[in-house]
Amino acid sequence: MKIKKIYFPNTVREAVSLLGKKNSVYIAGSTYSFKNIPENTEIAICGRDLPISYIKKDQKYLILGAGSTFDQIEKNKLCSSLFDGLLSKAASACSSQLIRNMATVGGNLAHLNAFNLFPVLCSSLNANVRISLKGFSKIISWKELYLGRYKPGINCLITELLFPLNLSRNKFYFKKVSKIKSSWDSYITVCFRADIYKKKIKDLRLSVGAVRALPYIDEALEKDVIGKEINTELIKDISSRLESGVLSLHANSEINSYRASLAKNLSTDFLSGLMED
Amino acid sequence: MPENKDFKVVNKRVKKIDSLALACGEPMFTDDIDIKDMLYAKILWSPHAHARIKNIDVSKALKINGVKAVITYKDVPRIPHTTAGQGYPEPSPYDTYILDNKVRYVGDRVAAVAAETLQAANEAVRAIEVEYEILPAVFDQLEAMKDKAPIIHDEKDSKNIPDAKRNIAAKFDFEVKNKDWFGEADYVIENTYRIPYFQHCAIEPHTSICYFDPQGRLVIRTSTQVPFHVRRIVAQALNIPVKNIRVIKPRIGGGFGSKQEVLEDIVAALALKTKRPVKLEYSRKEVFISSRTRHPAFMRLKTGVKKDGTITDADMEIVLNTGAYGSHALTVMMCAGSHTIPMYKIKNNIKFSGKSVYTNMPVAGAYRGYGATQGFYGWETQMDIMAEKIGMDPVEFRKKNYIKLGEGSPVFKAMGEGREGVEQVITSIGLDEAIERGLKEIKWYEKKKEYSKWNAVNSHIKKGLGMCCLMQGSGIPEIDMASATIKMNEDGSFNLLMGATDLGTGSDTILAQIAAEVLCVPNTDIIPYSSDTDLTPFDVGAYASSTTFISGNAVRKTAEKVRDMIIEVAAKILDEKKENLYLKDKSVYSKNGKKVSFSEIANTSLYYYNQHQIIASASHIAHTSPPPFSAHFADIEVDTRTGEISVKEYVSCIDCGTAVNPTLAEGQNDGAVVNGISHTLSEGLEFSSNGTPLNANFRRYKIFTTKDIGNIRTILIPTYEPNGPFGAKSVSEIGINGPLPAINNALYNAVGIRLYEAPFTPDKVLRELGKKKNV
Amino acid sequence: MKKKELSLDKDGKFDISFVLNAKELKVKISGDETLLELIRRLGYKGTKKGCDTGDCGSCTVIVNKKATLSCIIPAFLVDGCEVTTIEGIGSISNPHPIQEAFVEAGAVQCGYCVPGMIMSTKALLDENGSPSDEEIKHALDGNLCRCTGYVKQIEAVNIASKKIKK
Repeated sequence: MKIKKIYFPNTVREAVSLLGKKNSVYIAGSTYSFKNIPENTEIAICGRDLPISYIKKDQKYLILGAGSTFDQIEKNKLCSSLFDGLLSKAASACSSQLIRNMATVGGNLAHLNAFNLFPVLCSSLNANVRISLKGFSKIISWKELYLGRYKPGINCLITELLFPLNLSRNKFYFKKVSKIKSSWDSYITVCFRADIYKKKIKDLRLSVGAVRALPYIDEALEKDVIGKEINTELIKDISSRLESGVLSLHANSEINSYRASLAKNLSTDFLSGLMED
Repeated sequence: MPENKDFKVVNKRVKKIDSLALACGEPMFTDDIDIKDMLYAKILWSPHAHARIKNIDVSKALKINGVKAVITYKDVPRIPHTTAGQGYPEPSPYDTYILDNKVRYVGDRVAAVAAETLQAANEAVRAIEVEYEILPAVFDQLEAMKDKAPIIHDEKDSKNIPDAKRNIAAKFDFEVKNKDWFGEADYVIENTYRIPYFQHCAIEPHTSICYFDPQGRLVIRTSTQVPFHVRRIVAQALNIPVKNIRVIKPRIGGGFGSKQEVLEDIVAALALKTKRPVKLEYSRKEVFISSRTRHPAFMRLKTGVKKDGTITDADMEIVLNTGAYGSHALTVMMCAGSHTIPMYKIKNNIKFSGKSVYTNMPVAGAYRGYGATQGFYGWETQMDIMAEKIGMDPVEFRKKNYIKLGEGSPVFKAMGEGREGVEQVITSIGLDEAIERGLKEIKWYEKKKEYSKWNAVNSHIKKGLGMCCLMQGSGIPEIDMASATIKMNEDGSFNLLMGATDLGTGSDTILAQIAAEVLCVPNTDIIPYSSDTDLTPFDVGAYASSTTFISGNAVRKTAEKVRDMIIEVAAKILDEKKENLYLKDKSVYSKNGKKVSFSEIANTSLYYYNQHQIIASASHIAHTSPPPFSAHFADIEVDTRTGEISVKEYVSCIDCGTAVNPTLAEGQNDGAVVNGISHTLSEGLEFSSNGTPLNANFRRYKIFTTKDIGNIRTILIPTYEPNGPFGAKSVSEIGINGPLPAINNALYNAVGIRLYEAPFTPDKVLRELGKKKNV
Repeated sequence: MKKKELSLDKDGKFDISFVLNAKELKVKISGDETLLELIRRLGYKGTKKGCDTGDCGSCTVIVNKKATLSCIIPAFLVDGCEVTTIEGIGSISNPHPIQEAFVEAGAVQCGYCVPGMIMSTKALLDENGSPSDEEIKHALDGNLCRCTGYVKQIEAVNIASKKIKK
């Protein structure tokens, strides 16, 4: 590592203008970046002083500034009240306090990994992401981050996560199963939500993390069950389909078959809970 | 010594002597000093599980700026030795070389580098060119004994390997046969139990700094549990005189057995080669792979039991995986039997058959529990299975059978550590009280009822209780030796110099308490200094649960000698007969009320009359190894949706004789228990199919954090061990042996499954639950 | 004052300034130096290296009021920041109540994890003066200890919180 220049931009515009230089690297919270910096790195751009560590709400969205840390999210009132407190609960399940103090939402999204929490949360809550590019910013679906066009820290900066508030009628469910509680990795991380109205499914999202790089979702299954009445039979059907979906991701893997059983058991648990309501 | 429980310093919760300095971050550990012109060492580790080095070229490495030495097997003496820090002659095979032309596991030493900077050292390691002839490898201990398995130690010059052709590093067989095998048993139960690779995870990585004193002697400042063994074994491996080596043990950041291993030879070799100070600090990954681990175990236990609760026969076979080298191979294996079989009376027949087997895997060594962990997992699980078979309460079954005061076991005599043991009977035991107290603390019988009701109606969360009983030893009888020196200062304070090695346990504190008790001074008037081979007398070091019992007795004897010398001087000053004098409150009193202070006595002896230093040394070896006893109780919840086990409450009641310092004794047991629970539920090294460790870091090898512990309670059950200093026995190891069986028994109580392979991870639990459902 | 950019000087070093244990410092660092390396190089040996990967917490220091892993952050990241190490908390002659509490509770065995544990405790108690046991466990879950089983350490935090309130 032969760093020659270090920048601490304090506006997003400035930060973006620095991106993309040869052998440059962007450092968000540093839980990922510094130890993984390529040998030839010469320029470090640090997001430390950027004004993107806010958490706020407008009429349509809950907005997390990308510089917000897991600790901030865990302790934020909006995050602990909206979506049944899903975001706070999930943030508190991330690694250890020391990592929660340092790791940022933006970094969590930017470095794709099966065990990262925000892809699962975003996929479950239909989140959008605001990215800043040279000269402009735009809102994209979280998924577009992984299509290759936008490279956070290289040609753009993630500045905000936007969670639509129109999910208010939903019930939410989060569970991370791991060997120890303060763990970065997990056997599975699930984030479910459902909108049930008069016993009928209006909307369903069963997002399963840790089973592959991007969270696993069975969109066909979710479409199929819309309008159906929730009952034991249907729950059995849904959870079995989710199980076989996860199972098919890695055939012949013992640990994946455990993950598939978890997907089945936890979705059953979630949906049965809704029936009781 | 009379049983006098009216202690002044012993059995008191005095503050650990070094704790404030440690809490303030004072520079006390090996790496906390800056030494001028020090070089940094790095080791090239084998990427192959089994290979011969055909060619090794260090020329490119030597050309790197700042590189001062690169050593390979060609540059060091080839002297077979063991890294096991044990008494001489060590019972472990001499199968290790500083560097060899053959590598035997992924993580074995290939070459070593010393350079001006760590970066240069790392670069040099990468620049060493090695041509390997890859050999077939074997990873499982049962496979390694088969015909045609690759022979791991095919070298001609290793010593004391009982059967190198079958990869057997150690074996021991023992049988007591009084009647036909299983002839009287109403039920015969046979199971196998397996334990994987566990690592100690001391938070301070293994660190050693070698430098030279003004006389050119080699000083080794190192994180070790065995400074005197380090001096001897480094001298042996490098073929230099003991007199040219000084070993200093500063504060140690935990050891748990992993620092009972002499790995200092390589950094000493680099220092000798460069004539410069050299530091070697293992990375965490290196600690996981290339220091030491617990011996993975395969254990088969076949027991016979009568309907009335009599255990008739026990046939125990254990096969340990010792990895590439046989460090502690014989002794851990023997302790798996000798620390477990005597726990219960076995009426007719006992058989023990043990082997430790070489594989191309990381090297196992000493680890808190030392075989008893492996043995008790099987034994105490099987005790519950037997109790269930005969329809007896598992607590009653244990109470009926455990070894009682005054009783012996043929095992004590037959099985020592690496050789015959000593005959002994139990001279103190508080197991009955421990069991009763534990039942009460955990509310065993109330909760049993409550949980069976709960489990009948709740399908997701099941609750269960489990217990077990344990014993260990207190030092190795007629082998371990400890000694101490005490000298008196002008103000009536005392320097206590001892070989005993405080690796974070608090032994400096409790040994000072023992000296203070004898000398009738506050513990703050004793200034302990431990483990410096130039300044302190010999001690085997901190292992085998020996420090309190053996080093403690050495300190007691030393203090008694000093007491006699003090009285001698006081008798002259007071003009009294010695037998009329006694020590009290830093003074000597006569029965008729005369008094002279310690400072006056010290000054008299140093400056005025019959001038001499009041100083004495004493040594101690023990002729018995009185076991501490313990009863453990686990209260768990099992989530049947995920297979997660959560230990809600864990109570361990321990009879360690007199707790010299109750706070520190509790701390020892708390730590052992949580380490054991962590073993049971989340730990274990994982390997690829070619023997490469996959989770050699704290991110993937999971040890418990604050968030994983439930309500953990240690309760000391006071007894008085007549052979111990002020009634004390050992406390440090026993606690780690309980969680595997106690949680296994609780798991059965909660959901009706038992696990025969540790750790009990949620995937295994859910799989077993699935199997049970399908039956 | 936080700078907006740092450039190499003629010796290939960066000049940074930050407050370390209430003392303003100007130091030269290299770009690849971690904060842990810098702190120890400056002679503050209380901050320990246990894993160098951000997984054990032995290297915990407080940066701008937050407990931070000094082994995984670059030293340059603290330019303009306030950093506190264990030496800034208290000393043998003038210990902080948290340090006294760790001693009293018997929470120090080998003591290698203890400076980090105390830094996490300090950050916790500054934010929440009366934490519950659950909150203590949550806040200390990044500090591994193999000696104590955490039992007496959690007790120590409780004692410390009472001492500080007095």
